[in-house]
Amino acid sequence: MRFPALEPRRPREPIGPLVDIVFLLLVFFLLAGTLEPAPPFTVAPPVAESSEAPADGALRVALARDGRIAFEGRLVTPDELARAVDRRLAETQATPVLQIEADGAVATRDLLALLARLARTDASHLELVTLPREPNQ
Amino acid sequence: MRLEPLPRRRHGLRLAPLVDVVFLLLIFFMLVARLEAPRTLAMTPPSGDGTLTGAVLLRIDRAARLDLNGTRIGLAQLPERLAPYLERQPRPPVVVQAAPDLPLQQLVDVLDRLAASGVAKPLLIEHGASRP
Repeated sequence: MRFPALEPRRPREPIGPLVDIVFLLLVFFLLAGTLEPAPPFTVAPPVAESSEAPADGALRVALARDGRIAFEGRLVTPDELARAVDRRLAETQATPVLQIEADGAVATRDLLALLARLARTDASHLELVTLPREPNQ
Repeated sequence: MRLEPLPRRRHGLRLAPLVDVVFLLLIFFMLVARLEAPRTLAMTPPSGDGTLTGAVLLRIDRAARLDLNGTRIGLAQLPERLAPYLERQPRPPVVVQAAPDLPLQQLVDVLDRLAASGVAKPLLIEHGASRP
């Protein structure tokens, strides 16, 4: 009895299309994502309906719910903050816009104290970072 | 004299190491990149100068109850109660005085309502900074 010859093994899965997709994903994340130093604590910004698109190239100050302050990813004391902001604005010629990334549970007292300090820096404009309201809320 | 034959040229780049590196880069950027698009609200810091003649005072207590020039109102009523003041000439500034313990989200809800009623830049002042 004769059996048909076994089929030769299939060649390996071509890797080219896979590489193409991975390249596309890489380019997507390079373009769509922004690389910024994250504060050393978690911040959940408040939700707001009517808010404007943020300015480009703004400096960010983060305020944790327990009152800690971070600037460019580093914890700073309130006294260091104004100096650090002014130094950064002077050396980068950045847009003098400061964004405050505050937690939604921060006490108003802490926010007002931070605003008062930042008002004495060279920043011309202060903004509060908010998140758009989710449709199901 | 015998010469070694030249080694045969390998045709094409080896793809596997390249793919490895690209994968690593992809994972790096996926983990590090922040994709969410935040929005912002303009903030006007408390300032000592400037007169607040004829200003409208909106107070928020620690339970997020509103008080417009001494009258208790609800958040939903804010635009209609504020409208008569905003029609005055010159347009009065709106001063927001929030309780020190008020969570920021509650303050932002009120600022949101104010922005929807056309008050783009309310003045934030500290509790006890002015006594009506």
